[in-house]
Amino acid sequence: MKKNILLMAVLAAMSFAINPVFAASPAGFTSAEIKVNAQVGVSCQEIQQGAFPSPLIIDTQTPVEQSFPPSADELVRCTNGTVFTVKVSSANGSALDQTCTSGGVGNMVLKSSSWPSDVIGYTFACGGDTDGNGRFTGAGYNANKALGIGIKIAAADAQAAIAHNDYSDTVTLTITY
Amino acid sequence: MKKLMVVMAAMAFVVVMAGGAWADVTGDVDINATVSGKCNAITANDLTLTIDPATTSVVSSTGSATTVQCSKSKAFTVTAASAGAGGAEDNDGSLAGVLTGTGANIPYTLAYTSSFNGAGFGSATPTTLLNANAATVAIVDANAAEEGTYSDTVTITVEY
Repeated sequence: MKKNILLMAVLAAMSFAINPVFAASPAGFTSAEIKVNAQVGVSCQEIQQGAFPSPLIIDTQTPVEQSFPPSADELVRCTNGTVFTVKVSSANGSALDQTCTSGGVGNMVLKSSSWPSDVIGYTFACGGDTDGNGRFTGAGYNANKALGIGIKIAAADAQAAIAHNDYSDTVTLTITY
Repeated sequence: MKKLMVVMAAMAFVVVMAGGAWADVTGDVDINATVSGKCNAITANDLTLTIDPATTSVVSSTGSATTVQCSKSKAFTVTAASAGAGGAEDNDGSLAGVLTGTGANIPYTLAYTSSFNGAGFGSATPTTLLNANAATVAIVDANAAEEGTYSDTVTITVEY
């Protein structure tokens, strides 16, 4: 009986000694490298259309330039880091695909629908440009980019305006990237 | 006539002797064999991720599966390591990889087979280590990705 117990003890000790050797050292291996390639494209998307209060109340007696912020800014999403520009066109004015800057685009015109010959010139600006030259940088599709649109009417144009309540213009914004 | 009898007697003697030899001599031959656990070279195929930053769904890779043939019924383990993520070995079947390139790094996930039993060689169906759509980029990471080209090198290792 004593011998049997001794033998079992020896066997148990051997198994403890052998197992860690197998676990730590695999007999061999085969290995390969795989390339994962990725291409990220460029795109832009309008998230919110810009709008202005309707009607704009123009004071014809003020001696200074009048500024009108939007009721809703133009919001876009573009590929992160992508530089883009915004082109502006006026349906009633002569501005056609002018680069929108924080300084503003001229040759924009509000026209009376009942008296088409009665017009008011204005400036359309994009205050959100990165460098003042009409260049914007996309913030990715996780974040909206506000163009910071706004309208300015020079004191002289406001003072010369003929009273109507039906002035309007349609502004087309084109994002180029 | 005498000559013929002698020949027949000799033949009978020989037959008796031979019969005695078959009956008395036997033997066993032991044949021992060892089938080693091993694998052929991995058939590796690159994967491609085409990321549209405007996507509203997870971006999955395209390409072809990566496979291997290994000894039948033997258990194997697999590890994967992404160079872009620093090269640390992963063994849980889901590697957190990093694509590096033109812009900011893009994290991605690579799903792989972390353990399997070999199916044998020859005409046996190879075991798939990576499917063609194994690499995925989460929506939030695709939305934040910058334009350009990126890549990562993944090392797949089968241990036995």
